Amino acid sequence: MLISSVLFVLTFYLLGNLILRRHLFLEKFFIGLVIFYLTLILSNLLGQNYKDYILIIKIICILSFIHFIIIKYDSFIKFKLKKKINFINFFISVFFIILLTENYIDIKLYTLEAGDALAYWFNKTKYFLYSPGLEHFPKPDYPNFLSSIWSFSFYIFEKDYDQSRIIIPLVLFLGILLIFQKIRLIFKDNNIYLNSILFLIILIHFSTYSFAASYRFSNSGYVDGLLSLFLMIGFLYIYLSINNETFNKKDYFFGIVILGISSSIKNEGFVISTAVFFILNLYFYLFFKKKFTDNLNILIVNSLIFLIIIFIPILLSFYLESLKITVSSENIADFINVSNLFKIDLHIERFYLIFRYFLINCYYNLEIFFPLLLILLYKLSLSFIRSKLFILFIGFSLFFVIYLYSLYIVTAFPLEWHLSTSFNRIFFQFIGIFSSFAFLIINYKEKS
Amino acid sequence: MSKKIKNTLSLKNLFICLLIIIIYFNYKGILQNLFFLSKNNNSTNIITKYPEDLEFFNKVINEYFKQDDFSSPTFYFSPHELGIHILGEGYRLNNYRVKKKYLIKNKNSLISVKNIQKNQNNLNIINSERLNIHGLFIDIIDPTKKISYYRKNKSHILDNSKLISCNEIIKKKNFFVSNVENSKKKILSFENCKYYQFSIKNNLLTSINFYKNEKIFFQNIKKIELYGNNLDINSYIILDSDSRNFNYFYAVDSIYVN
Repeated sequence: MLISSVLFVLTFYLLGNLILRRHLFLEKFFIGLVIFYLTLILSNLLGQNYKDYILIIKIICILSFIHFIIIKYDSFIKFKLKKKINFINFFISVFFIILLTENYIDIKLYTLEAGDALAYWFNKTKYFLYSPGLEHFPKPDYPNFLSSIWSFSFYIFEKDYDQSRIIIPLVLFLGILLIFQKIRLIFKDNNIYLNSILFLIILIHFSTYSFAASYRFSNSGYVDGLLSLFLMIGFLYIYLSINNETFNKKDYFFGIVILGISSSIKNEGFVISTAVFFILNLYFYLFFKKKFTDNLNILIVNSLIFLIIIFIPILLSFYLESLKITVSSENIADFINVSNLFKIDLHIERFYLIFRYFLINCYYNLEIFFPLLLILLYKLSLSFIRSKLFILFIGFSLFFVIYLYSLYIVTAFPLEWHLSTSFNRIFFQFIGIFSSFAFLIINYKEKS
Repeated sequence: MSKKIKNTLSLKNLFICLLIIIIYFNYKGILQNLFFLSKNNNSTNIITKYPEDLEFFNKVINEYFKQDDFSSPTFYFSPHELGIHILGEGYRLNNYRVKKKYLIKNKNSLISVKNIQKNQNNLNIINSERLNIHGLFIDIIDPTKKISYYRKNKSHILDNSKLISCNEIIKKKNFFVSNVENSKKKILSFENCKYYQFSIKNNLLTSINFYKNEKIFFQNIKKIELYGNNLDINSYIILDSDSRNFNYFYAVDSIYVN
């Protein structure tokens, strides 16, 4: 399992290495995932066989490896590794491997059984591997990011649907590790122990959070954990790029790509990532007006990139639906009823139940909310309340509450059924961003 | 507050305590589960055996569609019955609606054709019912000549590269689900026996639909046996095959079973 995991990481890193220069290892890894997903979709549209596609990926990786050796030959291993070996890094690495191994054991003991995982994401994974033709594309209106990378794992593990799921916790944990690494790089002089403990708490929460019949977001095959992670990375990178002394284009671009790809993880990702994008840019405009106007051209270009990325799954779905022999009879009105928003009696009727689920889920996610509360209390001061970070936190929290509330007001499904089957998953999609806030607030320093 | 208490209540100490509590509570249940499962693997699956004499899936599917337009049939596959698989596209059944789960064996076996007419080099079959099959066991007259079948005004050549030795198939574990010995006997009686698996692009296994009262002409074939489970499902969707060569089972809600 460890060898396969290393192989996955290296493959995606080498893919990312082709595009990114002077970026962190894990940043390249994540861009590698995006490249893999986009090229797999393209190869499917071109009617290419999966084996041929993987062959191309292998060749690209070999070339990228040669390129990497040539570029990094002088600095390779020599000094950097020694510098990075210390107690905290060693402890975190061991903890990381233990969590991954524990997830692997869990995967081995619990077969692939989660409903949506089988019906949508795994079904799509099989489609990618067998590539039977676009007219057979399962559930075109559902995004394909997880299934595309799962197909690679499925291929490596010789179609073992149980073991192949290891790719999900692996990506999840590496994402949280990337956040931690970035935080350590940006806030160099802050308390490393507090950051490390917070990192471990978040890692454990993402690893063990379970829902429904004890399915875990980390390995059951559901995509909500992954969506939460990508929103977390996108949010943090864009925020840090804005808050830097000089606007960091590199981080902003990375954040835009990762945030945009959220729409390819789950349909909800489209709405949340768009909202996060607007909230952050509004924050940028309101509090850093000069920086905003100075970099307007870059922002416009990046916004266009963001728009293109978030619309990929929608355009793909339209195209694939047009190829289908049987047209889907599903209608948007079957899922949502916007007029509900204006029915006062409905608000009164539904408020209590939604609020109850909200509180229950706050309790389920206490591992994140309690440390966040502690941090907030610890940092509580007049200047903190007036800070931009706190205003952003309040703004985002408001959006979170309004989003959840309005979603269940407009739902056309039976409310109790819908709440019981989806509230915890929708709620968890925001946990990543709240984890980012925990990191940001813990590292917040008052300006003297 | 004294300095000592302040130090004890520092954020760092609180966080360490919190981490320990989280590890304890989050992993307590997980470790108990692991211990339980490692001791008694699969004991959680209580499955009712599906009555063997019931007509196979079509009946279940027909029943299902009549009763529920919202969902397409839900199948639990596996060796462990745990997974949910969807036939075609659509919503799965909600768990609370499944009262009792039945285990259904994947009935891949020989499907006998009642009306067979033999000529010198040809074999004509007329189906009295609609059949969905995955492959053909054929007894070839002359292995050097091409083998083909003719249906819907179109001739289809059975590609030599896709003809598998029957002995190889017979050795395959769980290839026949019912009447195993009888099926093997029938196949072994073929002199030049080959198995032909229908497939689409990329050798993806598929089922093929023979209509009711349809005439199909086979050339260069002496004897024939059809193979499949009579289900109109693309094999990649539901008739999964994995590296461990498991035979598959399906379960449906009891209300959909006669």
